[in-house]
Amino acid sequence: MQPSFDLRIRTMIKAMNEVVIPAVDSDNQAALDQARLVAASLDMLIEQIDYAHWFEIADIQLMNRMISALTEITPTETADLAKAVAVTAMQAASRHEVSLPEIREHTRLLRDRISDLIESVGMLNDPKKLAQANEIILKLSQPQLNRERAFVAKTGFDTSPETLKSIREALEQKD
Amino acid sequence: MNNLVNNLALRENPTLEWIESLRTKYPTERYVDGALTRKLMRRKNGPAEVTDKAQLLSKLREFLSTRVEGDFKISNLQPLTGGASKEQYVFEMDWIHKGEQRIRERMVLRREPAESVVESDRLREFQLLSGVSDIVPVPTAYWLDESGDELGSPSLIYAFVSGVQKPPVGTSNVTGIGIEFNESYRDALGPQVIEYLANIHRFQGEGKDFSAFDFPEVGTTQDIDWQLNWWSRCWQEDMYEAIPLMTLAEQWLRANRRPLDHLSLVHSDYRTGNYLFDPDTRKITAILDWELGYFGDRHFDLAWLLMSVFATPDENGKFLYSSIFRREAFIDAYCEASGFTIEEDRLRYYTVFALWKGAIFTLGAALRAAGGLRSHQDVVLCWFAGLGYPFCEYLRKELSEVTHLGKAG
Repeated sequence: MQPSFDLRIRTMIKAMNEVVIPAVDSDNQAALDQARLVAASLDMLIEQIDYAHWFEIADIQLMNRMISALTEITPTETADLAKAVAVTAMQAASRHEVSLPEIREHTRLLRDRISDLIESVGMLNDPKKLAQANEIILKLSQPQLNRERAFVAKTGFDTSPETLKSIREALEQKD
Repeated sequence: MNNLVNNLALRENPTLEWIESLRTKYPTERYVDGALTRKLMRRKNGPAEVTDKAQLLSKLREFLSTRVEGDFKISNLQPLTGGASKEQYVFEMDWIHKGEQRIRERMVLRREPAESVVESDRLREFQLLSGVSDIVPVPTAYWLDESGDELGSPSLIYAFVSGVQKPPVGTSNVTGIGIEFNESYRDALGPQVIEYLANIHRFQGEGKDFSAFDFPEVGTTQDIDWQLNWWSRCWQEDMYEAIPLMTLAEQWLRANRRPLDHLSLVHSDYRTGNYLFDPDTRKITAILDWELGYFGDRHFDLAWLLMSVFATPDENGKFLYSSIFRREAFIDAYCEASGFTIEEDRLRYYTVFALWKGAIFTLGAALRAAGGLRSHQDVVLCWFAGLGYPFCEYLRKELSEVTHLGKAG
């Protein structure tokens, strides 16, 4: 049995708050600021870590939906390349024996292909297709951004905290 | 699409060919190009070394010995916190000021880390501090090590200005975001913030050395072209992954550029958190963080200050932009103080631009610098990246509105 991530991180937070930070010279504000951020970052990680895999799978699934929608309106060669990358990514997402960095690499490739698709629509000089692409991206970006914002809510930067969901709620939301 | 610029390996280990391709694809101001190119060249060096304070002190003494008349003493060199960008130290200096009178003065040494949340040029910053000192309160800029050959990194030294970013009781997030003011502070600070912004925008660089700047032509889109290229290039150089919304935003921004109507100095990060004030008199003592300043369209500074990411709630929970202003009241007061008009469509354009740019610093540059362990505060930059998603969400909303209004390119 391995100590869980949760257990380890909680012990690190305690060590930082109760032993390390009190021992830092109070005149060394830079060290104090960074030590407090270490503890706060660990506190955020403890919330994220159980959902890290689910988060990445949700991202792949959403990017796949974006590609499906965009390839309806984009030139054939660009669309075929994007669809091929999406197929490989979805296969990876369905397996359990794949690491988080590998899943992220698939996501990164999907996102690169989506950028290519958006640019290729832009080059068509077709206002109707551009408007369609805009609508697809803007609509499908919202659930992804809800997940992203939920993940980093503890940084305290969000000025609409009343609209934030918990990480789990954001992941459970249907796109 | 040029796949070469989307290569993660090239971002971490840039080749000269790749750097040249970016410079060609994204032409911008000369000294901005220089700063971005230097960043990429330094990236090959890997993680940054921790600054050795004793060595830095020795270099500082050596540097000042060739620039200061008479005997001088420096002491008590300490890191200065509060900003997200540059590495800063405060020290005491006992010296003969301008060859006339011996004084003891606190100074700030501001240095470039190997990589930062924003890349900028120290000569530009020095010229801005020197050039605006007649029109707004700024720290007195004394010395510049443009190349970094003497101080180990491009640096400037300026007089420390006393003052606070926030009221004595209160909290904020990194770089002064999220400061809250009560009504009394708002009434005192608001008119000063507007007055100084008006002064900045009326200034066109006349009579001062701005040789490190390129001046765009009024009636053309040169100003916004340079800005779009600057930040697009940053995004290509720094992003960990493409964001479809950002690609869309850039496309819209390029399709909807307007010619410049009036040339102004633009501060580029004008907001609460970037000025100091005396907590007793509530007078602003210095406007800070000029490193991204440029000559262009004044609408950017208003759009930046009016972003919801910099808003805090008042006593009734309503948004106050930059912790002080209601939107329409701010615009009206600014127009009265400056004599300028503000075009709503142009302000909307620059709101999209400001949000897009903010996402680039936070999700691009900050994360890239932190991920490469190239700054003096990587954990701060990683935390700061949390601001990127609120930027993106507001960008999504703003783009939804402007495209719905039929303003798509």
